[in-house]
Amino acid sequence: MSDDPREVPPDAHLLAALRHAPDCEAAPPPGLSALILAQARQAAATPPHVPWARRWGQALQALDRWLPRPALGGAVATVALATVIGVMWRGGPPVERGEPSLADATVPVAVPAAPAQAPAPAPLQQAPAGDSHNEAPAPQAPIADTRKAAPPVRSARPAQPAPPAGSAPPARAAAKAPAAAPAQVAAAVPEAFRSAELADVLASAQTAASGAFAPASAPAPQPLAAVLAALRDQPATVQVLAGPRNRPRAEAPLASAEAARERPVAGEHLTRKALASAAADTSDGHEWLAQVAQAAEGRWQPVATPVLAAGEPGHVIQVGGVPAGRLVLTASGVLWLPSEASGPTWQASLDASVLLALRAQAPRR
Amino acid sequence: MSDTPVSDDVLMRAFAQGDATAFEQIYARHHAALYRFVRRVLGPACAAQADEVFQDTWLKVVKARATWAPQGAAFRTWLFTLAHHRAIDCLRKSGREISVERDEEDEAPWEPAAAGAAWSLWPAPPATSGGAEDQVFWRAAGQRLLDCLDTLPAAQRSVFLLHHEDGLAMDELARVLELGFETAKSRLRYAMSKLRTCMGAYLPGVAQGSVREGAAT
Repeated sequence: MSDDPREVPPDAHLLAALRHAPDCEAAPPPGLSALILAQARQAAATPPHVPWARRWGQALQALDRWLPRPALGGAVATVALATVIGVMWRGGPPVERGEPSLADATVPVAVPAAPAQAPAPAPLQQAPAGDSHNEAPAPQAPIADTRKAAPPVRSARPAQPAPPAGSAPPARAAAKAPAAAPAQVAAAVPEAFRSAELADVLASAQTAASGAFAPASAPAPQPLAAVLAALRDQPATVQVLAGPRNRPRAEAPLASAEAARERPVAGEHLTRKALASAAADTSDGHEWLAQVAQAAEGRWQPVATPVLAAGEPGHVIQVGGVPAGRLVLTASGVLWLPSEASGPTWQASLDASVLLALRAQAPRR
Repeated sequence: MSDTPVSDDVLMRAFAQGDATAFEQIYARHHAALYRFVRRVLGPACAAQADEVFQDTWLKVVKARATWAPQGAAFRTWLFTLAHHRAIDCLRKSGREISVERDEEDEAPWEPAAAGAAWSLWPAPPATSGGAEDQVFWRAAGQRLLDCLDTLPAAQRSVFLLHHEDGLAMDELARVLELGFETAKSRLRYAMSKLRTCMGAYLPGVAQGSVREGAAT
């Protein structure tokens, strides 16, 4: 009995009477006690069945007794937080919905595509505006515009593996349709060298130009885009070699226009080569290469049978030690001869003064 | 070796793990008091059901061996609470349970104005075992008390028995019976007042003679 003042003390006389009551000696019948004890023994021989709800209740009660401890509570909270963060990051880092970054910019307009039905050796023409997948966008669209209005391209379509040379799908045949070379991309290259954000945009453009879009389109009208992309991403892997290192392209019988249409374009091929390249060569002709690309912007046209005069060895462009093609300054302009079976030949007409300046600045042995 | 008896909690855990002898020890400790409690709560009118209530109470203990935990109450308290609920159920089914709401809504139980007026003509309760004459007197008083208990509502009877026989404090009594503290206290005070009146505690000259007459009858 407690010392609580509210406690009611027992009545001593009632208590004494209760203890001396005649039924104080009452006891359960022996048979009843034997029955209860027998049932208890039988129950003790079998494991008790504890319902799940009761087990969970006991576990929660035990947890409730332990959780108030600061150390254990902190540990549980840490594990819970780590679990939540792990679940949130399971599919990658969360996308921030703030100001759109240049990394998210895409360049569908920087990926000119020729109409599927366009004639193969047709001269340079403007693709009609419309479907961005099957029709060529405005080839003169500056790269600044691509930064503004481009939807995300990083995850739009997965990169497709490079098809083996000479086994291009039929849809690629139509890709030979002449499309204007987006010389603006090349023009923006020097600036892109200084801007990592623009470099990302260019990478996206080159990835798209490598055939990630619809196969019916004609990517990479800029012949040097892939080289420039490699130059931007890993400048050390691009090498501009002067002199006749390789066999001139003119000496090898070039394929006919139809065969050339069946080959993958140079940009696609070279871009993949550039991306796959890991070598670390050095060269001092990078700037000259960028100048050539800038001078030839908007002037590139495919050439079925290039004519090379004697004494025009050109400059071999190597990406990661692998020859990507040859750049030849001819009497009327510049000629881009991709490496064998990697694409058609491209020609850009240049002014005499420009040619003269390019020749003067060309790297020499 | 220590002679300290093993607690009921330890025995229950041992019984839950399959030790049947632990249950035998618990049964030996509490079976007589529990059987007496059940008989007194049920009263003579339902005495035939005392064995059934007693057995059911112990079977509940057996079934609950794995889930039982000493949640602030002693095993004995839990045991008597089980028996109380089972006995009240039995009384309800028999139609003998009397509501105590009317009592508790009326005025306070009657108490003598003078403190110590009760039992003034009664002999002092024996500390241990008195003489033969005292034994006869108190045995007759006990029988009279059992008769008086039978006139109480079952709820008041249970409260009085748990408080006086099992020794539960008021707060514990209120908790195990799921009553408010004041409600439990009120029931106890009503029960004690009625029992004193029934026993003749306030009537001068009634003390020993009336009790002896009651015991003789």
